[in-house]
Amino acid sequence: MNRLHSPRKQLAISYLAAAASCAHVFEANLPSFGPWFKPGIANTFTVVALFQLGIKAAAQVTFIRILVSSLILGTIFSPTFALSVSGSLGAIFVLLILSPWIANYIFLFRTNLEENNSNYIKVGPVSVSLLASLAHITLQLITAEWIIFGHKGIMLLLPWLLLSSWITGIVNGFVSYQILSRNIYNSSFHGAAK
Amino acid sequence: MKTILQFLNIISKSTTSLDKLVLVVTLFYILIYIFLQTSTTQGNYTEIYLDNKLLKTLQLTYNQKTEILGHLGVVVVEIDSMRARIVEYKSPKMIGTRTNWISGSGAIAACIPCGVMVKIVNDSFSYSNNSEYDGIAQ
Repeated sequence: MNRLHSPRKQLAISYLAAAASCAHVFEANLPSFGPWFKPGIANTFTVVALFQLGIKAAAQVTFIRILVSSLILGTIFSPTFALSVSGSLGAIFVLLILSPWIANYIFLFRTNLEENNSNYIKVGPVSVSLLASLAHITLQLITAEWIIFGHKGIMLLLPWLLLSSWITGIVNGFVSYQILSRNIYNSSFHGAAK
Repeated sequence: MKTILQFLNIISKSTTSLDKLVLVVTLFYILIYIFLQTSTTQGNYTEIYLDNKLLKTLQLTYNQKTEILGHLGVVVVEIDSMRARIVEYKSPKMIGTRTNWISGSGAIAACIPCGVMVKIVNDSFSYSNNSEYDGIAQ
């Protein structure tokens, strides 16, 4: 798989981290769509980083995003910050497990992911985003139970939150696919790095 | 119809076979989980917790309002027609209030910043778990 090299890679990571931070702050200021429900737009950029730059870059984008957005929102080292970190650790763990099976992003530039037979047993951005969002909400709720509440009753919310994560995970996965298939890094990151 | 077909075509093109399998399997398990969770009975008591400590137990049969002093000020727990809800005033996102009325056994409404949680219980469950006594002795 074609990977970017430093410092071009560093530039791509910083672009994605900045975009993810903006999305996180924007999302935090949106009116609530329902109890415990967040669209998770920022995770789109983590999925893009995973497919274009690899698992290490995806982890970097995630943790830079959490740190920067917490500083901007003033929630750093608060319970909200602990929830963000724990959820992201869960998502990164899932990405780490899935990383050997991710579809080659070169094929995403084509219209059909299954054009290449090797992609039949690979996962695309949709299921990566979906599984990461399910892990994210599960870890967040376990942390809420463990650190904030200390009561197992909070886990009764888990199935409903999993359903909302299933929907948002798929939507974010399609958005990631659209970003990846537009081959953004070739047009902008390359030009900026020259 | 044409739009739906175009949408399904986009979904088909942007996912691999494994993706489709993952989508179906995860949805199936989540729906089963929700079905198991929601097939509960009507509760008849509500337990109010502050910082994970049981503060009050109230019957759902009496319509009443009780005030709890949480970390962010007063939180009102309202009971009406065999259901309960939290009414917050200073919580940043009002998640407890947005949860609205709860009535099924095991349902909860919580305000994390206030440290207040309301849980619906059915006392027949707690008795039935106590195997030392039979139904008549209870």
